[in-house]
Amino acid sequence: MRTSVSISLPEKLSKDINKITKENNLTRSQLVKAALEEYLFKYRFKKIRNRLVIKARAKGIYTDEDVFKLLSEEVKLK
Amino acid sequence: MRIVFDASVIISAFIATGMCKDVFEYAVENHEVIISPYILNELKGKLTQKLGFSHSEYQEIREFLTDSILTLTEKTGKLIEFSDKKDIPILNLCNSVRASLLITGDKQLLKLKVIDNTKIISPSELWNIEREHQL
Repeated sequence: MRTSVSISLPEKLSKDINKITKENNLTRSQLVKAALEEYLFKYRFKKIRNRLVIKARAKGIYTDEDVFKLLSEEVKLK
Repeated sequence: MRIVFDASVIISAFIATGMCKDVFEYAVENHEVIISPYILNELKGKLTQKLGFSHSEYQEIREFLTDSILTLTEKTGKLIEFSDKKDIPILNLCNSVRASLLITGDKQLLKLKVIDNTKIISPSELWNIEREHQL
């Protein structure tokens, strides 16, 4: 199912959207959908990461190397 | 490009600071990233049993991944021979979906370098491949 959303934009942003849609042969709807998808992916990823990174640091896990080392060892963290 | 990440790189992208986070984010936005039920199951075991994160934290990652990237299942059978049996389903997935890249932190897998049409690379090597594609 699809729903329509009406939004009001500042003139500058609207002009920028028109410019990019012409450059990339997209409709305004396609561009806004792609932008929203990218924003929501980043938002959800950051939200989950922010919480898990804090928990990982409490376990002494900071870097990629820490993760690879722990996962390759026969140890179990609390 | 079709890209497969192993469970360790995905976990690192979610919990640590470093290249894995940037590479994973970039790949999802610019390429077609594939995951499988087998990789999700490995992710669950490593995250909860080895690193001590909760089941609900795994579920949150799982839901995000299945919403954001394509989930496909590997063909079964002996498509690929490899000494570490637990990695065979991942190599089978790469073969089944004709992945261009497998991004992994596993030293044994990295030694393979390439299998069929799939290059096996560390997270940081993605930037070199992108550079080659742009030249």
